[in-house]
Amino acid sequence: MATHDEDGTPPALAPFARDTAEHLDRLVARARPAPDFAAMLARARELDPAAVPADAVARAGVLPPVVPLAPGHGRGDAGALAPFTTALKAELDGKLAERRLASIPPAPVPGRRRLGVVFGVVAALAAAVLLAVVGPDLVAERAGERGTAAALDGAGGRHGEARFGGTTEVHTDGAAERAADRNDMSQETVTNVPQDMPKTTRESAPEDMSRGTSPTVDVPDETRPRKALAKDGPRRRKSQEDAAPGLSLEDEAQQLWQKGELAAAERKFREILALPGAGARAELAYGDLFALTRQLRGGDGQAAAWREYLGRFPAGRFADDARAGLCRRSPADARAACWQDYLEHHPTGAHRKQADAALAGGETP
Amino acid sequence: MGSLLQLLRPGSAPSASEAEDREAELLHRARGGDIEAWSRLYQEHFDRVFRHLAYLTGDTAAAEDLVQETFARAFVGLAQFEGRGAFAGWLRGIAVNIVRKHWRSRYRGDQAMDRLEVVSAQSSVGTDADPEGAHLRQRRAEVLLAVLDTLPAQLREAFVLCDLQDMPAPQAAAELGISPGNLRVRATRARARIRSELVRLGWLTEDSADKERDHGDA
Repeated sequence: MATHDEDGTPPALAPFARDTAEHLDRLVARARPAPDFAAMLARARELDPAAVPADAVARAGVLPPVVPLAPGHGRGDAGALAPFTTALKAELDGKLAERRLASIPPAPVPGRRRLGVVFGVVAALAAAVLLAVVGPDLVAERAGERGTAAALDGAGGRHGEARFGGTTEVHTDGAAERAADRNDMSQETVTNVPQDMPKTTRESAPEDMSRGTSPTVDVPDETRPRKALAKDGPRRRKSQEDAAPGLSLEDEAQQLWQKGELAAAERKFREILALPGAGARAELAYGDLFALTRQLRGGDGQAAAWREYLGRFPAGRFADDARAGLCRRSPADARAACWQDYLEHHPTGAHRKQADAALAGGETP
Repeated sequence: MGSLLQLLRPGSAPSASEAEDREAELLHRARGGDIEAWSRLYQEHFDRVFRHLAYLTGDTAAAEDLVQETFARAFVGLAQFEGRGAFAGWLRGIAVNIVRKHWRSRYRGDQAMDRLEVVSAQSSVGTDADPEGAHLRQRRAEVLLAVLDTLPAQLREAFVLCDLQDMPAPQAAAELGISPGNLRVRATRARARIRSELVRLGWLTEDSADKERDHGDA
């Protein structure tokens, strides 16, 4: 009788199979290639031009390798998180009320009530810890869904965040970075609660890739998520009274954009660019301007925004994509030099394969 | 405390059916020409397809090229996906076909054998080596990959799916487009070929091979 399953790996081969699988897993983990949707789509068009219209390739060409979340993405997640966020909010609201009452001299409390207070403090600590753990992810998720600059304004300068075409994705790679995020969240526990997370149903930012083709779940304005007061970095350290009224420039720009007032939205974003010391906010505003200028003035307008951005942030978070985008748009006789320049700036850039291919003469359209 | 208990209560994670529904929606939109939906599918499946290709080729650089080709071909052939199976499985099936072409284009039997001899010679069996040592594990992996490189494609892919990826036979058979019985035959032949090569190269003894053959025949 066989000592092993006839269909399974024989014992003598098992160590080889196990070691090989582990070896391959290590290689895979080490390789971690960056997805390049634009290059893939260009290849698809080569295979079947009828299946992939040229304009689709052109539109994808301006997308970054990390594509924005599709409308509807995360709805299930948000729904699943609703009980958590609602309960957490209630918990934190309760603690906030307690803190507001803290200046009133406490009346003597019987032992049982004191015990309740102790439980309350424990609950508050647990909630704070929970928020520190899930908070950054909630904010990242929400930002991805809503695609608003202000959603991550306070964290706008963090490395690893990328926004494209009116949407934002956050990659918190390093442990230290994540820890920093958690510290931020825990220090600003109350005002950073993404209160309206469960209500989010669609990306609010216009996204030219999806126009006319994506069935989106539209919701009335009044049901759209309002920004938490804490979103605006400079404001969130002020008192609640100071921060309450008014919208941030990002809010206003997004609202104008949603209403279709593109030129006015652009002016608002440019106001952000003009703010003194608006480094991270300005970068994020450029992220929106890339898509907005394309809607307003087409590819040339977008390329102008890329150039403007690179002039101001030559090593910024969007520099890789902006340079690659300019190379794709550059005249044929200047393209090789452009890609060469790209490789010099971004030797390990996300578009290096396309750059290599272009320089080798096998460029995709 | 009640709300905290509610916070910690399990069971609110998105269900598998929700994920399937979302993917079905994305597929529906992608079929309608929605590039953004396709980009989302691409992003979600990229890592898994890449890993699958790395296993099939044993070469992450090749896998990096082939993963793009896989998605490009899937994109232009999306209308052929009938949705009866999992989209991930359909993608892996395309990946297998791409790898077969890749093997056909680069496979040179004599070169693979030469490479096997070199790898095996560099990787001394080392009777006094720590059997669980990292060095030995690395050598075993290199030798098996080199042996796999010498196998015909249909045996190699059967072994990779069944023995390296531990894929259930029905799933592996479906992805290779063959019957489970056929898969079993191929996997058995692959194991026999590998074992015999490892014996020839001194990595296994005849005894262990005979013993296993006896077990297998019993």
